[in-house]
Amino acid sequence: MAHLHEFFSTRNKPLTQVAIAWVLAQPGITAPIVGATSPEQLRQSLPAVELSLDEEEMAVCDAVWFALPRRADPAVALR
Amino acid sequence: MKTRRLGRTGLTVSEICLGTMTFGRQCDEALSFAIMDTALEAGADFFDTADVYPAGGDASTVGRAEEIVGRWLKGRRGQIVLATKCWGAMGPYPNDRGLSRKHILAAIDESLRRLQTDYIDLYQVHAPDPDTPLDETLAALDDVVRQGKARYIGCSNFQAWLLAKALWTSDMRWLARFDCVQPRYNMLFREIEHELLPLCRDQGVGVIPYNPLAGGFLTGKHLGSRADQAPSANTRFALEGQAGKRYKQRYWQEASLPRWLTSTSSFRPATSL
Repeated sequence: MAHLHEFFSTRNKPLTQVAIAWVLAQPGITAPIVGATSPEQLRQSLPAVELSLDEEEMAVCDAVWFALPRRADPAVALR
Repeated sequence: MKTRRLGRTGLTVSEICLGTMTFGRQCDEALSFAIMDTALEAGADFFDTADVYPAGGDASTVGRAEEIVGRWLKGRRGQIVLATKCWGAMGPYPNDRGLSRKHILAAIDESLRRLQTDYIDLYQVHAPDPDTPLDETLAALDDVVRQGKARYIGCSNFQAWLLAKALWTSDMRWLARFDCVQPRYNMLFREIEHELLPLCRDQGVGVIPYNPLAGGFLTGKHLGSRADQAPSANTRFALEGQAGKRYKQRYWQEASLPRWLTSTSSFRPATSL
């Protein structure tokens, strides 16, 4: 998370919008479900639909999943 | 706001779907209304709720999120693509939960009452019910569609094999089919890319992922919290009971400053752990 934050802050792209834009960029996705606890929080998420990620940015996002430790817990893995 | 078709259907939805799991517990009614106003003003007209919401509640709070959405919806119903779900326990009795014909036909009527509408755009089953035959569930959902109480049906938390089985069952029996699936999906959790997403692309099933922000983790707001620290109040990780525990189990340990993030500025493969 610290690395992601650092990388995208130099590009002036808020992590919240990056995370949503990354989901939207995946083939087969229709619409991510985004919640909020305030209108301000939602306003920070909504511009994600206009955000595009270049190849390098996608690669940085993709690297996260493959670097994560795996846990042998079906409750975590399957739901 | 940009829009897309929901899978192969003719239904158009906004690219962001508003989740309502916080309504009635983390957010009171006024705040919930303000959030829905903000979404609609931005063109996000696709709302997802569930009969059991809000999250982190108990038997006394189930249905509150739908009631709040229902009061807000008055005079705006046609503008909104409304999705809700059944499956979770709505009462103390065995038939107050699950995906039996009895419960589904009762649950849709209760949701319609709380939402103060006579139809749901997308009626979803919240999770599989291994104790009910799939064809019983699909036939009941088909009745719900034929009665005009739902326009489309979908499922949530279905693995690819089960969705494939459901699609062929609907096909064989001329029943309404699941045109949408709601899986957990985000940068920290990508299991669905192996089987579910290819199935959905092939079959034209819409995909509306929940937890795109990993429960708020990917906003970066928990940066600086260590895995052994308590999460900030009024976040999902601080919810009471099962809900908070589940979110911590899903994301807290994995991404809260494990060694590979604190010791280096670049990523290392998992094998170095």
